[in-house]
Amino acid sequence: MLPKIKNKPLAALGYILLSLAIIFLFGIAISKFTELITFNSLEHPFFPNAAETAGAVTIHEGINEFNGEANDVRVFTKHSLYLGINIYLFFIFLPLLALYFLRKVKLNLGAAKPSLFLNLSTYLTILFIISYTGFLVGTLYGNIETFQRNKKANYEEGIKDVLNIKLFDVYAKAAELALFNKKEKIDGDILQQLNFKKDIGSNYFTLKSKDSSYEILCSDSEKDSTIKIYGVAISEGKNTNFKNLNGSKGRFQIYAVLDPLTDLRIIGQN
Amino acid sequence: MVKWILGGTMLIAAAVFLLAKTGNIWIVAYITFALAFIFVLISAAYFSKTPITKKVKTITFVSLIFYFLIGASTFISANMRTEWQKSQLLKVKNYIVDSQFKIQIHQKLLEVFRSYKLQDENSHKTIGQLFDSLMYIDSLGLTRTEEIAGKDSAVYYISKLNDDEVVYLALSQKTKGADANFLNFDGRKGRVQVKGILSGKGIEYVTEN
Repeated sequence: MLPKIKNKPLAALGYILLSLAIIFLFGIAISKFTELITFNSLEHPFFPNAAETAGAVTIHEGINEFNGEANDVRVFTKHSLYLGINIYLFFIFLPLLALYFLRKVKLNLGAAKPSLFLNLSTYLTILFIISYTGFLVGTLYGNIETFQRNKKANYEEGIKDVLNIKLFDVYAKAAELALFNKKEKIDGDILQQLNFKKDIGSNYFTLKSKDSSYEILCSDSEKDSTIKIYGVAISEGKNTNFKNLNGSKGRFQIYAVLDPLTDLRIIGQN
Repeated sequence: MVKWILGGTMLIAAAVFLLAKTGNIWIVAYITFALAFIFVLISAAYFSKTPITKKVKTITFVSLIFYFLIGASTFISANMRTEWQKSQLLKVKNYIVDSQFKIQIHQKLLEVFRSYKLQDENSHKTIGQLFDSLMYIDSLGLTRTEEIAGKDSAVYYISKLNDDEVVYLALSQKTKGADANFLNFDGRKGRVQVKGILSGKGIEYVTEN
């Protein structure tokens, strides 16, 4: 039996696919079982992976804290159970089965009438473990890849957040200075007090961040008391062809409409 | 074999049951996984007695260790990724709350500052007097509360009010700040607290926690 399968790569591939299908069926079965005994649905149903189950709880806790809500004990209980079943099935039962068959098959091969069932079971169990290892490697790669991608995206999102805060700071200080100086309009004097600089020939006063991750631009040539303060970040905006005010292209841009006598509106542009 | 399976079942069931009391899913995951590893190594030593050859025995042990190493790596990577995502989520939440509080404080205090700076030449009202006349201060004296709509809420307090200076602060009811031991104005601990200080020179914003 053993040499026959060894010489047939298609048969081996079939076993791997069968193993993967069984892994997913296991996932469905144990998630349904867990849902049944805990009367509640899982965050990651059908996914037979203990690490992802634990991760789902962490994310769930983060979302709860974000919403200012208390953590649900039932969610923790059912995921702990699902996690335990996963560890048991894939890291205790499966290796035990493989070890048991490995010992039995050795004796079986030397017997006068070798059992076909035993040989096949041994093969299937080992292939099942190999398939699940591949499954775990895929999860590991996915985690590392997602982590790296999220970090990069988060850096760019962080710049947008800082720019939003900075725009508010500029607006608040400009409004106060206008009132303090009893001016109805924000002019170049006020902008210069806020460390804005204006190049010769430029229409805009600019304030650059120390790391050049964003730039704030403002013109003092508005006719009425309102003024627009623009923020341009190095982060990508929605439209890649958008022409930014500082000469760059496709970058994130927002502006604040400011009237020191009334109020503020912050509007996203790209 | 049945004894080993029963032993494994009892070990994992007991570990999950006991460790779940910690309330930390990663403690449950790591310790249960480590116990499974030790259990399988012991069972491997038992099952790989004769008639298994030394070569097969070595391959079995190496394969098992590799299998568990990959398993452990998925736990570590998922733990790192999700904890980081959770921290970023809370960072964004803090940013939103902080900005929201500053804008709310700004709107109130700028209204007073505007009245102060643009008052008639004959009128000489102080910052404190104007704040008192423009803002509602409840019967408790210096405490004024206001709820923000939505899931989270904030309470606003006047922590200082005299002729020259008003300190107006916003205190989140649910959102945790950077320092868990920070003593909030209402006597609780670790919540986001932002204050605005209004004086004749303008408004200063301070994120206290």
